Amino acid sequence: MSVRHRLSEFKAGMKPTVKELKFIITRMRKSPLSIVGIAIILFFIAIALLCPILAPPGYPSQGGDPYKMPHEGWTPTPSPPSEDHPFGTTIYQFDIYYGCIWGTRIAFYVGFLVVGISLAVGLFLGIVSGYYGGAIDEILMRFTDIIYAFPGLIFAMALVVAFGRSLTSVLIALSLVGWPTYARVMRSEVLRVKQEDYVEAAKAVGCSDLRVIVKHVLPNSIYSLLIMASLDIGGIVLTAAALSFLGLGSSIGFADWGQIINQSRDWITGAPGNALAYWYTFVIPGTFIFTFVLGWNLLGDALRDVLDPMIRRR
Amino acid sequence: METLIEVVGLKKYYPITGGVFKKKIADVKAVDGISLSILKRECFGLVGESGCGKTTFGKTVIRLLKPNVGNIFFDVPSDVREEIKRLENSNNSNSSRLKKLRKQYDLSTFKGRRLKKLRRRMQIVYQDPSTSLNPRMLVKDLVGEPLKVQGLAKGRELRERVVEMLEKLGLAENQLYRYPHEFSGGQRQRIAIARAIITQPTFVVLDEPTSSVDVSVRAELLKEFQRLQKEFDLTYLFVSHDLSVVECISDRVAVMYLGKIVEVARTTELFRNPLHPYTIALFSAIPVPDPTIRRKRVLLTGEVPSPVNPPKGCRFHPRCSMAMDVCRKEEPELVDVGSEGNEHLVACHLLKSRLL
Amino acid sequence: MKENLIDIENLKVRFYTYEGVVKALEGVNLSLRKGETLGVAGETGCGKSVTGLSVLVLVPPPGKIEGGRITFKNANKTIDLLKQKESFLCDIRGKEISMIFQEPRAALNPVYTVETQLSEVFLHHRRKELIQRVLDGLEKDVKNGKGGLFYGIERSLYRRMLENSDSLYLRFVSKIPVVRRYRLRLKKEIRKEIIRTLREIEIADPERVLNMYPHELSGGMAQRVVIAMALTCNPTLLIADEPTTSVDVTIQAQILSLIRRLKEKFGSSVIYITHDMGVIAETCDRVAIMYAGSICEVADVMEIFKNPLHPYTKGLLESIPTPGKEFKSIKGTVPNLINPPKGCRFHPRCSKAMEICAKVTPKMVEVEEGHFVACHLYRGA
Repeated sequence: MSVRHRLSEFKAGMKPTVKELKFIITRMRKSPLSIVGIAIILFFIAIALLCPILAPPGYPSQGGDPYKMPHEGWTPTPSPPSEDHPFGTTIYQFDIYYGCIWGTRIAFYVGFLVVGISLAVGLFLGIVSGYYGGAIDEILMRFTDIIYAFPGLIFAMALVVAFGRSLTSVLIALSLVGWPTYARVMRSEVLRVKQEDYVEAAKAVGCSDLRVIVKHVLPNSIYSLLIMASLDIGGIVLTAAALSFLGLGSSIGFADWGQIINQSRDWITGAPGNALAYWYTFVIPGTFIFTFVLGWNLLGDALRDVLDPMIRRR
Repeated sequence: METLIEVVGLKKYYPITGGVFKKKIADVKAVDGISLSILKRECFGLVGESGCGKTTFGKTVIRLLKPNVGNIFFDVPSDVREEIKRLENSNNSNSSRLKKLRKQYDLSTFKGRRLKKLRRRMQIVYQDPSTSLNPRMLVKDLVGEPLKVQGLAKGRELRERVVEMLEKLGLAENQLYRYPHEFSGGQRQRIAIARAIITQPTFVVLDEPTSSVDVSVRAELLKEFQRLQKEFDLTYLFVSHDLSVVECISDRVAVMYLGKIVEVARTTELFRNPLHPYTIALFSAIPVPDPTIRRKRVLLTGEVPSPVNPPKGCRFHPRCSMAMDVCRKEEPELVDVGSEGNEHLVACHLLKSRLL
Repeated sequence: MKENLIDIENLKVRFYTYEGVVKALEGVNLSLRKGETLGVAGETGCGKSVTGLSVLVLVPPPGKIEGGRITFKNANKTIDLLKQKESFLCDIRGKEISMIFQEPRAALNPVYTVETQLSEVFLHHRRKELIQRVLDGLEKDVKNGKGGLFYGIERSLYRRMLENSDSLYLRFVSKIPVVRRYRLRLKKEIRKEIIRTLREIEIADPERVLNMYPHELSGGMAQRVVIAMALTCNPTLLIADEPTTSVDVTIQAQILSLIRRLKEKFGSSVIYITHDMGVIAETCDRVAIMYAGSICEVADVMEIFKNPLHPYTKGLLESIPTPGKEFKSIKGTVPNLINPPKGCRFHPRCSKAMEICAKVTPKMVEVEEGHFVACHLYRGA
């Protein structure tokens, strides 16, 4: 096959995908909130990518690890924003600006990792449970119920007590407790799609179970899960920040938004006579968290609005 | 003419589970003992109302569903068939020879790879193309899937065969990269038909293929079916509740009620001379597109009974105006009451007594 | 000459969808005489359901009624339905104009029993009548000597209900535990009425059906319940939108004869929307054929079948499968109503299309008495 032929094949094959994308973009354009959501996410992606430029590492206090916030000296009092420290410093003179910028990468890391694991596990179990039904379904769903009943925060605390305080414990705890919702939703979607005529038609043609699942059931049932996942990324980051604030997450000095707020625990009440003296220690990282979660929520809503009527339209 | 498919005593039950441990409490007797034969290259019509089990029967014959009881003999040479019959009637009905023959020819024993290979020769076209075509697959993938799955073609050859089949059904090559929802109802049904016959099957079950399209498109589709039958040497099982369509396209027709066949005959004979009371009522209920004819209706009383608990004896007796005592106790068998060379089978005590 | 009950003049309906503006109805003109059954026939997407919904002013968004007039003559009043307020229309819907839909089980709310749904219709339209009946019953009881404190209380409560069912006083009283049993009388009265209606609809066992949920009913039974709901108040006009398409042939026969009998008994007029020409031949007096949003031909049912004039009508009748005859179909497909063909909307598929057909939309012309066609072939004929 000549190159030109292959190119035209490729272009023809891409046409329906292009049409789909155009449709999604036009619908998104109609709702301003979704544009705001996408803008926020893009903004944060830009920050995460440009970390080394925006806040270059290489301070001696870091000891080679760019995720440790740099500090000069060990003065416990936070100092307000100044030329050297655009966002001020928190206890022990850790630089808030640096922490917030590099915290973006951590936020993405935490969000994507936890949701990714939950999604993968939930997807697999949900499909197996929904498609095969019977005893497998019962066993898997009871197992899911047991995990569902676990309180995530307490489990994280238990892990921290067992393995010591680190971000990894938090990640493990959250991903172990996060997947049941995905499994449940996937199972109900698979149950719905399983009954459709085209699944039976695929079996009538001789498709193996695997092929039916991958090519027919999965593409039609995964949309709710994707919407849930995008809404969840924001939620997971919030939970991780909460855990860090409680002292269960990363250690002091780690570039994580929740960690920065944790460090300002003693200073939230401010100085006597001036309640907001140390506002920059928690308002600034808090704004980062808030905006990040807002962006993902808006994106999730927008996705739902776009994908649902599309399914209805079909 | 040679028999292509012979069904003997086919039963398909759906279990109803209940209770905490989901034990079986009852069965929906969708197909409750059907024996009939379909000849090569004929269009066999199967009519009945919704819930009578005709769709289940169609799907069971092509082994989309596994029958509970019964044999389905597909494309058995006549001498082997004779041998099987002989062995069955003789004393050692459990002989190994019989078992071996059954394993070879009886579809109800097929599984695994043999079943998958069988799919090449038997296919089905569903009623509603908007639900029977995966909405997220392109036309080229939909029509090419049977070939890919069966390992009959790939790459360029696959694409060529797909294009060839689409053109045979009046669809253009530039429509390969489209989704089903971009087509009209009639075109979607054509895509479904292309998908069904691309592996060049011998037998196709048409499950109410014209019920969800418009009247003007219906005639077109029926013409297509006839043309394809001649071109590809197909045998059809045309399942429908629309009697006027069945009358036009079928060679022979069977009437089904609550899981059993009540009457079988050649189309012209059946529509000219229906014998079973249910058939008579069914035919009289069709509205005729001619306002000058005011048909005398035989109105049936009551509703169709549930297939979980069909009435004892003849299943139709609670709604039959001519029910006799024996109808309440004994189930009638299919008896040939037609003249020589014009087979007309009816399952009714009334006619049996008349014959005697 | 019987007078016209409904006059639809120049009705325009547009649907504002993502893909574009769907010009669903373009200048539909239709009239229904009192006491007759008008059949509206056409294929999917021709706009017949939208026409039925427009009469009730129930076109769902993104659809909007853009123009035209629907005149409804009833009890010496002539009103334009499109110009009325929603509250007025709520009064008319169900009482003077009723509609039955295609999917009976979709028209019934799956979480309420049959009794609850039917009593809702009763309470909305015939409330005063039923309260009056309860009061009469109470008066009779008192006369017969069955006195007592409760009777007096209930009588006064019902009298208040007659004036204003929604007063604060009654709402307050309904919360008091023992006294609020006064409402049971009304419920009993409604139940009696519902059983009577169901028996009229030829349901053999009304008491059993009352407590059933819609998913427990068979298709035919559900459709009968829907018909009961539609006919509780003896409407002057019944709009039936493909009521028998989703049921079997034998049930269809039962329902058609039921509609015919009820029509004779109550003297209502019926607009019967369907695509099945056989059903039209059986039940209708006059027929209107619709194609792609406008009416092609209107005539007496005998005329239409004997002497169809419009090419679409001819094609439709010829494409009905008849044994022994070859299958004939109309070439082409139904046009996309976002960009309908200019001029006559049927001209791309018409075997007799002329040059003018692609430019000018034909107007309805009365070719013979009572036989109207919109086709350039019959201009000034």
